[in-house]
Amino acid sequence: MTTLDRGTSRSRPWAAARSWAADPRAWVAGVAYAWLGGTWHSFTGQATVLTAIPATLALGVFLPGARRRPGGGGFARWAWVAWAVLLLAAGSWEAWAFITGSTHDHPTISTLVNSWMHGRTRRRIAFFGWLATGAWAQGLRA
Amino acid sequence: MTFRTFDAGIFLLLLAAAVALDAVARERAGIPTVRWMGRRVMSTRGGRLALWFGWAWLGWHFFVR
Repeated sequence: MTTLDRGTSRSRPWAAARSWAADPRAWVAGVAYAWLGGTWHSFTGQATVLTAIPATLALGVFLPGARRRPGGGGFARWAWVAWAVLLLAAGSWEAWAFITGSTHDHPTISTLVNSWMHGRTRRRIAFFGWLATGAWAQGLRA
Repeated sequence: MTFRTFDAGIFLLLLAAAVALDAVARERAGIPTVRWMGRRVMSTRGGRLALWFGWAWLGWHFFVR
């Protein structure tokens, strides 16, 4: 990271965060933190603290910034309908599974993911996925 | 095929459809990509707060509770 980048990141924290994906040190740090974060099971103090730290730090990266809409737009109506149908179908299917009690036969997404996350390795992979998703999301800012 | 496999398959099918639609959107004008929609949401303070909350909730839901 150059001096200029550091100067920019002081006033605009997301500017530095946006370059995380291109920085191998960020990947190493992310994997190391996910390894640690995925070590403990839910309902433990360690899991709570290790999840709360990146979530709290991310709030400072997500929130600041000016209102700036992305370019483009003017998309076809059918394209919006297609996205809406997919979202509505997924939401309805999830709601149906939830209402019917999220049983073994009719699981919600949470039930499926939780059953997949048995074992530390998978839990660490999931934790890294969560961190990576947050890093990707904050990089969407204009 | 069990009910569980069928139910999980529906989720995977919808995910695959979303990935396919996004792939088409990247190649063709007139269809919003996931990235464009995400950037649109992140263009307002309320949207950024909502996206942060959703992401933080996922962390809490899967790793804390």
